[in-house]
Amino acid sequence: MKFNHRHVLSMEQFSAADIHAVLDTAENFLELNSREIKKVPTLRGRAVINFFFEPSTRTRTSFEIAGKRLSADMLNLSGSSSSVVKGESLVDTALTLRSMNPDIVVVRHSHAGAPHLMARHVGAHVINAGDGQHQHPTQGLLDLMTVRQRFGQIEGLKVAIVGDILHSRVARSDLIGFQKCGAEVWLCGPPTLLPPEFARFGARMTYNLEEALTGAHVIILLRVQAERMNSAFFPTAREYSQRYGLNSEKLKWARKDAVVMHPGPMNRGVEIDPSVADGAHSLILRQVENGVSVRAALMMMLLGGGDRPRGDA
Amino acid sequence: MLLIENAHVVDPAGQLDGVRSIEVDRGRIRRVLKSPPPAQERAEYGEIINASGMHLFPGFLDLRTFAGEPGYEYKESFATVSRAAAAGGFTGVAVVPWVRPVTDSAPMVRDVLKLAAAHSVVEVYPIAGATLGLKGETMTEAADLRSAGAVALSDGGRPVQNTLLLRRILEYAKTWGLTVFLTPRDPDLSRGALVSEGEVSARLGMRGDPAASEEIAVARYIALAELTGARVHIEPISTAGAIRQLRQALKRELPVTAAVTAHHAVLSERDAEDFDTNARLNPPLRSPKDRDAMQKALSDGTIAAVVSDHSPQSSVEKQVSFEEAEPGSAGLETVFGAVMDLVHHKVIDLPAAAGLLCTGPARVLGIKPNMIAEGEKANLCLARINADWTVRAQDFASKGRNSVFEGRPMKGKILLTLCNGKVVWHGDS
Repeated sequence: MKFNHRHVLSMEQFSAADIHAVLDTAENFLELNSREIKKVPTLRGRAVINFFFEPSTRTRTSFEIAGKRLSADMLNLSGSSSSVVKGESLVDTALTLRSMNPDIVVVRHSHAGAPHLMARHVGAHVINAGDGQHQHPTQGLLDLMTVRQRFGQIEGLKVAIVGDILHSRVARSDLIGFQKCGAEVWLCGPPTLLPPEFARFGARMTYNLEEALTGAHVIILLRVQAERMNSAFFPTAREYSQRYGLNSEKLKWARKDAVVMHPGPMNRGVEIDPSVADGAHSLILRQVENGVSVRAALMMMLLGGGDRPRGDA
Repeated sequence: MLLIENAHVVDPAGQLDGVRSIEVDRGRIRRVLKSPPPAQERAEYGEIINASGMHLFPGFLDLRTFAGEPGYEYKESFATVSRAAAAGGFTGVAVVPWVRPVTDSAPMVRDVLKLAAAHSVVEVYPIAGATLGLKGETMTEAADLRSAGAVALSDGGRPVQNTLLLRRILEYAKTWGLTVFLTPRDPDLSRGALVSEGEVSARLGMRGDPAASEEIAVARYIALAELTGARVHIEPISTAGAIRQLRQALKRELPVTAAVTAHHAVLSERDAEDFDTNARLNPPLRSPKDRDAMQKALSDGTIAAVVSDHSPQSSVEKQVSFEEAEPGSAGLETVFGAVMDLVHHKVIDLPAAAGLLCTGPARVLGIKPNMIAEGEKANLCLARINADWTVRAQDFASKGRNSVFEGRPMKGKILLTLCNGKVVWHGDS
């Protein structure tokens, strides 16, 4: 399977076949995790820059581990998303990076489209590690991987994405990815956080959690940002939690074998009750583990390294 | 003396639409001839331009030009903006007050006119702020602004929130015959918006500007126009809902006019999906349905004028993320091509196109429109309406290198522009 992508910017760019190819490659990496020596020389001598313009520990670390397991030279840079604070434009930043000749630049930025702009100027492969409220393709892929592992397939599953859809890049990536792989995607949240336009993308929409969860195989909960709680998207965190938070009782609306996922970090007690987060249905930690494999797979496929980690360190 | 021979003259004010030859002498149109002068008289002309196959229009008037001076010389200046205007067929530009310092007092109006007199190759009409510093708090001295040369007042792109203050501004401006330019936007609904609210905003995860923001503001302004009887000019409009309300208001003969930008007349949000900061505009590009409503309103006279909304930005302001980019497109040099697009697609005819660029804008300001008739000022532009070209902002006469039309093919180009008889633009023909 040929991987015909120079950059990883959005789930929109992938076909279902692309997605399964990435997941197959990622599965090959899982075994590496259980080895005593968790390193292969596949990307030895290659330089990967992790450029995070907004704070992130989880995603940045995940990329870093992925790169290091492939023996790439990892460089972590952080900065402000604001050009005013930085004193240089994003294009200038890209040109500066370009002169360092990196092979891959991983970009996290609080503005939609920033990785696209970087991709036009940086002269390296760009992986979007989250751009504003637009896309988070590696999260989408790791969610797909986690679901495929559990159910053996994605096609035909009912997937409910619950919470702040409006502001969520994860929701946008998951919606596209799961639909491309043949799942039926339901979006659920309060009307202020679930714009009606999403119906045009083929998703089923409901403001009623029970309707979303009934018969669901997969429940993906989204984080409610603290700042949303204070800007009249809903009256109180308490009311949100009552209507849209998931607890063990409401989980019974879903299938018996339903799985619960969350991109993290969680607000325990708001969108997810601790009993669910830590319960038997939760795949939240599995998601984190799969994240490293998916990111390693993408780095390798972008650099034409084949579909399995070769050799020993 | 100059002779422009066998041009197809399109003069909406004089209702002329036919082949004529025009004599220009000492800044004025000396004669308009049905056929070229006989051979023995040709020696009298210093220059003869054979314009057969070309169209001659009265010089265009733009209602929304950011001139950069004073204060933003790195973005634009009178020298550059006026050449950009001339390249676009404009012989007059109404310049917006949001420069630094803001044009909100008589001395500032005089300062603008002084800069223009020294550096501009086209006529400059200052628009003054309706409130001090465009802060929406304190009325400016409208009478004094008028005597200093201001042609209109403007809220400066920032709607006056206090409706009582706005009422007083309108009542007062009416006394002095000043049109008041109002921005159709509800600041709360539009706060932080980057694109139009709808499918594109949902997909790109960028905050959307709902059409309701514009519609609420238009309803407010129409009600105040009726209450005060003042001349209210709403620009730039972009939504089908605004058009519906305008139609009603015009049917009731309220003193309301509206303008649309050239880009909102031909482009839609579909043209802004790849995070190109050139498409970061205020208001944002709307849905194809809204764009079609603009075209309908242009064809039936609901919209009085097409404006450039000339907003040149330096690369510093566009080579950033879409969210951080300053809104605007350097528009003066692409208005004609965009309007000709409407003509070629039979949305409007040539006289209507000329009306939207000449008589309409003059009517908004309450000034005499340019005409192609004996004794009139020789404010003219000569165009080849079928000339193909591609927009390359790097070739602009403006300092602005930002064009929402960048890379797009256009059909229709200005070849020659005369302002008061002087050649201010000579394009390659």
